[in-house]
Amino acid sequence: MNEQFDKELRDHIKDTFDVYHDQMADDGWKKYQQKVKRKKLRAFLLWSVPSGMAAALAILWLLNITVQIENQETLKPLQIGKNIIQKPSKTIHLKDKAVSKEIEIAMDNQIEVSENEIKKRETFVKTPKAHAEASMALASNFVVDDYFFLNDTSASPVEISAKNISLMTQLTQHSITPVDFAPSTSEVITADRKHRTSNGQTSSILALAATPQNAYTGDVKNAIAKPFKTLKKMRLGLDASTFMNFTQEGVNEDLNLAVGIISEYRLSNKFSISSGFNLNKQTAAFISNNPQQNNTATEKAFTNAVAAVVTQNFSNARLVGIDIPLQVKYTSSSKKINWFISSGFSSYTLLNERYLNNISVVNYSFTGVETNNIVLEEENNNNLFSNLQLARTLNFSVGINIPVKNVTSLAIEPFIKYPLRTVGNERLEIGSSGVSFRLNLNKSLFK
Amino acid sequence: MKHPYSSLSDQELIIKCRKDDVKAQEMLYKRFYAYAMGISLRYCINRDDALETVNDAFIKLFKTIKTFENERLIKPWFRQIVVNSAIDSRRKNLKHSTVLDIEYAEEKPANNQIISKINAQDILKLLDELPEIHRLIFNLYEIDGYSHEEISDILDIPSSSSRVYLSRAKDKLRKLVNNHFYLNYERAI
Repeated sequence: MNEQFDKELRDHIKDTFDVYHDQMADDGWKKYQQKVKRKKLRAFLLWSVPSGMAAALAILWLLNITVQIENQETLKPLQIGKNIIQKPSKTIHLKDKAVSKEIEIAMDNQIEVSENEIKKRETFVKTPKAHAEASMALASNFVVDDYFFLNDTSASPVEISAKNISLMTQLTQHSITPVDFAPSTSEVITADRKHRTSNGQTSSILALAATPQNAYTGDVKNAIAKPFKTLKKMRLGLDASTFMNFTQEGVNEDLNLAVGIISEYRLSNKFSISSGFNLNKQTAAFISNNPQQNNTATEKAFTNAVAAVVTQNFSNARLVGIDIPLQVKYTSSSKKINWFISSGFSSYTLLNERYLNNISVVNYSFTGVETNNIVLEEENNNNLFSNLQLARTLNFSVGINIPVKNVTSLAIEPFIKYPLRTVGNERLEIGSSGVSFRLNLNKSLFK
Repeated sequence: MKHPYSSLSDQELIIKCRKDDVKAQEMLYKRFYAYAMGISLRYCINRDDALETVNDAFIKLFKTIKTFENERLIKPWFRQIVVNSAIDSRRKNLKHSTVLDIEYAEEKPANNQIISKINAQDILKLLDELPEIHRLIFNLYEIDGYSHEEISDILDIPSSSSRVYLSRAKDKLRKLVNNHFYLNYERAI
């Protein structure tokens, strides 16, 4: 009897709702159009954010190139004779607390420098305007205990050009150290050492429900009508990776992290192109041959010594920047395992670089040999986005896509990035190898 | 004012929709709106959720309409889209819902004559009184024709659980019909 009741109830429900009437169709259509409009806007914003950032970086790079070209035209190489040195425009006092020496430099005069003597001349020397004007920010701030060498803006009111760094180091060399540390003219620091050449490209992808182009009205319609068709082949993903760096000196054991957004555009059933940006931290350990650091350490370590020799300068670099990959991806059509291969290039722009230099200095004194270990910390975060390197690394990776329920998929992708260009003030060639985890977002999440 | 596309058949509307004709889409929407709402209301708790489900279904419909074969009837195909959209929207609620045993009055013998008196709104009220999972499975199996294996795959539950929930849903519906309509029917008589 219950079965009969159930059957009749079922049939009645079916018949009732097969002819169900609802008079709210017009209201429903309006809400449908609003929903479609919201989805298009959201998809457009999600597509344009990574692309816009990459485009902005590219524009900044182009502007930087233009400025660099202008600077190169006005900048002239510094001519340094053995004993005649051009001076900055203001007086600088350098005090060596340990030795209580004071070196006075007349900015507007040529100074003839001999081994332990400084004499003044009355001859007036003009310095190029470009050198004075381009002296705003030094490439480096050197901090040694209580000493602020050269351009630390908080300690010294004087803005000193990079040329003057060389000037100061040469003065200290000639006046203090009998050992021949005199730099050659090739070691002269020019004002543009902080500039780098680079380029960047991007594209981004998002999957969406299709709607007619003119399903809504308004200004947005024209703005996104064309790219909306393209958006159908696009997909967005959140990327997190962990990796280790390697340089010519070997593998750095520090574990680095990167997070970012990757967008993918499908070219065909098997091929796609991906881009985006990753904020990452790079580390590297290397042996530095920076003469400025060596001289600074020598100056610091030298007390009653007759001579001081730098035996080792070991540096640890910490670079924070944005990696912008551009890669082509081949995806298999295997039913069991969804695997893919990807290859391409990454551009890179620096946000912050920090170097921890461990310098070992041997002092030769009349009483014996003494070894000092000096740590110099150098940080530069003044030139955001100015160190944009096009195709800094060559990338290669393989991976698998794991579906996550019916909504997203997770890609696990071991990768290697081989350096093609240098990065940072120390011109490091840093490669990396690690694994990336990418959560691919699809349309279901944007309901 | 009569819609310019009101005289077109479903197939003709589909052809125009493939060309992204907004007016054709509007006509198709309004033509199948009530049908979709009838399906969606059986699954969703309230009208707003049902409308959201219907609009999601239409978005999917217009997206996949280009791959729709002309020889097929649109209604069964669209029905499946609506049901899938309703399940997707209700799926998240299933995780947080608990199955409560509803205590009813003593079960009276089921009276088949009552059923014909029940209108659409009454049916929706009856279904609303069922727990979420019971309502879903009852709709999927009894009304929309899914098998227990298909239901277990959709809802990610064992097929034995699907059978148990369906049995409980039918028991409860019997009790609800008798409790709500039997007395009124007897009084009417």
